Amino acid sequence: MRPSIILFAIVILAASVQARASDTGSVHIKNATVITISGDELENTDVVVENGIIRAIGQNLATPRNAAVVDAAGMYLMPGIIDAHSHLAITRGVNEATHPVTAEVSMYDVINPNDVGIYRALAGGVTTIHTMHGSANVIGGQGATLKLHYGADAADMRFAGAPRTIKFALGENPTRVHGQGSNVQPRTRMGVEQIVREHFDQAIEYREKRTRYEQAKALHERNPRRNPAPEPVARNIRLDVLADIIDGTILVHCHSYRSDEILMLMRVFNDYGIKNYTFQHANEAFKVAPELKANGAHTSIFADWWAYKFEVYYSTPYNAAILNRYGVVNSINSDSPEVIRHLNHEAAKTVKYGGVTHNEALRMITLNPAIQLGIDHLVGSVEVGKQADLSLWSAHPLSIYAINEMTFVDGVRRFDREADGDDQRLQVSVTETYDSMAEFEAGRHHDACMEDVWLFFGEQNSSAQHQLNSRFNGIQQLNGHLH
Amino acid sequence: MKIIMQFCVAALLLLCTYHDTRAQSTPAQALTNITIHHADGTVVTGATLVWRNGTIEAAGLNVTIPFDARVRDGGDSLHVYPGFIDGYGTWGSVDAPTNQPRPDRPGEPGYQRAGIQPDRATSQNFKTDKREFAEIQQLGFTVAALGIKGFFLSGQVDVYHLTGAETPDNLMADRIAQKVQFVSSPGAYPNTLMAMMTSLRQLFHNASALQKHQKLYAETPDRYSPAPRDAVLEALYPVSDNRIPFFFSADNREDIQRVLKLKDEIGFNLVLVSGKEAYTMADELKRKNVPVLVSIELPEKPSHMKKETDKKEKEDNGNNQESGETDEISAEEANFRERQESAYYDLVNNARRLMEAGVKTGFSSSGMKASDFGKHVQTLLENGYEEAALVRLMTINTAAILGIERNTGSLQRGKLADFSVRTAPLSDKNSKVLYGISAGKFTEFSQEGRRR
Repeated sequence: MRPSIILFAIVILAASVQARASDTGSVHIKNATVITISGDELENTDVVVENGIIRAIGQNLATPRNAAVVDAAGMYLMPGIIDAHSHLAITRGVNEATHPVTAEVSMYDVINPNDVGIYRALAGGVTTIHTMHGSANVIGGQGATLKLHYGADAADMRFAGAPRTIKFALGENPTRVHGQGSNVQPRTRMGVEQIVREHFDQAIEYREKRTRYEQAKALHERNPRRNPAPEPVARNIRLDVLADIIDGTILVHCHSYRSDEILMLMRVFNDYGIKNYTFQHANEAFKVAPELKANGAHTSIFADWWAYKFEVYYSTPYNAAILNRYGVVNSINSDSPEVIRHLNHEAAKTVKYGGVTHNEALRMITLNPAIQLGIDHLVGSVEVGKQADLSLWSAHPLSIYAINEMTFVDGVRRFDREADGDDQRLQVSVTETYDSMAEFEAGRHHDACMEDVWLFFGEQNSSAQHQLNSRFNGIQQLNGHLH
Repeated sequence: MKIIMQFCVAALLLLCTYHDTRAQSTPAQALTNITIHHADGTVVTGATLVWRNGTIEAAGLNVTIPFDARVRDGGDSLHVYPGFIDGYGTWGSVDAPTNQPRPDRPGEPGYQRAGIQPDRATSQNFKTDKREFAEIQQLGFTVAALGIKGFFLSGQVDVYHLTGAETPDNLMADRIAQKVQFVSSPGAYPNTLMAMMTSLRQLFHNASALQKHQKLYAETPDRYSPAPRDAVLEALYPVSDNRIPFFFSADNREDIQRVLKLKDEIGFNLVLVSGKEAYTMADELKRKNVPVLVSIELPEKPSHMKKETDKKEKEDNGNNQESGETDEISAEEANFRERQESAYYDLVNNARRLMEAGVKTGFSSSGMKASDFGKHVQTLLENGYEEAALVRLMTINTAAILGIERNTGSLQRGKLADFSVRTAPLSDKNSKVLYGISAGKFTEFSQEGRRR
């Protein structure tokens, strides 16, 4: 290729990045079939977005000043897809697998905003992810609800106004890692329950002590002569988080498979007054759908994946349809950097197995996960006043032939199939190769929830080496898996 | 016999007294006919440097040489630089443990196994092999802030005068900082980055409560339960009291942001160490008054850049006919190569951009091999760095960050005699250090690189 052509191409590529960066979040999408999720499907309809907010939905709307115009005739516009279970964009360790309870750690501390997986998710129409701690621990770390502002700093990816969340895990993973691996509790499912109860009790006791201390300290500061300084009670981040769960300010997302352990956790939560939680995976949830409904518990499941370990053999692709029939708020998740690119296909499987309506199927990847993350008042449907997280499809998104053409996050076009170049790495390291971005496995191959457990069980020296400045020795992300 | 013994002891005492008296009138030393390269960039040829008792008495032109001085004539060919200062290095440190056994309870491994060891002092952790000190002396370094190889909180940082195998005996300032890095002790809590972040917060909560408790108990023991002692938490008091900073190693932009986040939350004073991508955060580092002890260690050029350089060299040598292979690459790959090239130059230009942005910038070896120092210095010089800027970086700038600028870092009267004598200017790639003078202590290096 002649250098002049190469140069021209570079200029074009640079220009497309420039245009993206200057996007104001105002766009007029014309003549689409709008799948609102919360209401009817609207044909030949315009959606007007100003500064990231949906301002109007209707026909023949006026284009606001400075808004880009997208001709969407023949295309389908739907809310941006929300993945309630992801491990994307995490730096140096998904599992702090050293202790069965690590509520103190937070995924917000370790977001990697340069993970090209974010762009791949955008290409699949995804606008929000719930990136979580793995499932090695009974009570893992706090989750991060992220808007996929690819190209922004980690702090700017945080979904403003999203409630705090935390990962729990039942069954084989915590018993294998801690019981068998480290010879500490829990070794059995009974032990898992006790770990939860013991830590909740500790948290309640701690919160009482700490509150008493803070009250006495306030009195002392007001009048030191009359009120002697209290003996300090150190702030304990782990127990603080657990106490916040009991106080209802943190939403629990619990990795689980078997119906008996799902019932167990609901009993425990009822004992401590905990409400508004979601069972993740929950392959046997269909067996206890009425109980889930009665407790107001949600589920977030795979459409049709099972048999990757003993506790996941009893499964059915009708799980989603049964839960849906019983009125359980259910979502379909990816738990995979690959499946996240086609969650519409996963949702479509619920139509095939159990005959849920198209709207209900798409609700499982939009409004329902929004409810589970406590952000349904902001996103999850196409409604005036909601944030403009949208994806535009070449055909009905449940069709196997549908291709996502554009993805908007807060009205900003973050994916454009036509305009975007192939190489969407935000950063290029001095030591990586051009082809490294193409090294990507299609399909689902492993239990992502157990990622990086090898950091703990694996070779110590190599793990220490990896931690040292991965970007400078050519290793972008750790990719250790335990199947 | 007893009388003889008493006589011997008396004679010995006399001898010692005699030596003491002599020490007070140590003859001066002088180097004449030399070129002095000052820390501020000025270069003085035909200059003289006089020092006595480890302190500089004069440096420059028209210097009167004391009558008792031992004079060495530089013969117009020697170049004197203020001693370089390593703002953070682990020269001479014992190695971090490898293949440690799994703890019985990995979630509660104890401080040592967790790599949380701020109570460690360098003096207790030097390895028996002391050759590394001479190796960096021979690069022109006379002072180094030393830490201990380890994990998350690896220990305190102490400043030493580099004097070969005697370096451990030449402590200049102790406990000037505590060292932190996001490197965990494998197989124990905190094992991941997220757990290290939160562990640091928890350590400060614990230290704060313990410090308060100890104070209350010391004041009114009858009212409070006895406060326990905890060497690790107590070693953090100077950091939480803002008496000393954390020397926190971080290189990439996101890690630097994490460190700044922790600084904002906890409120510690911070010196960023290594900071290979610190230029991306220069404005914030300046605003927050965070100095950077920057590493100048650079990666190898990407292969396509190396090929270009080789090709150019061949052409320059009039050897351009054969090879003939041209890379057929897509526009995307061409774009990738361009980005990779600019990523390389971003790393090269990091220290300069920090200095230009007004960030207090000093030098840190930060794990670099001594043998690579010359190579990296040459790369910086080839890419537009001025020699004077590099000298300033490694002398007075670093001294100021370490808080020792009143004692060393430039060749001024009253400061310590810390300097090196080279065969040629630093920018000459054949330049070698002939003598290293550390607080007046003279070390001669042979041309083959061996210390005499």
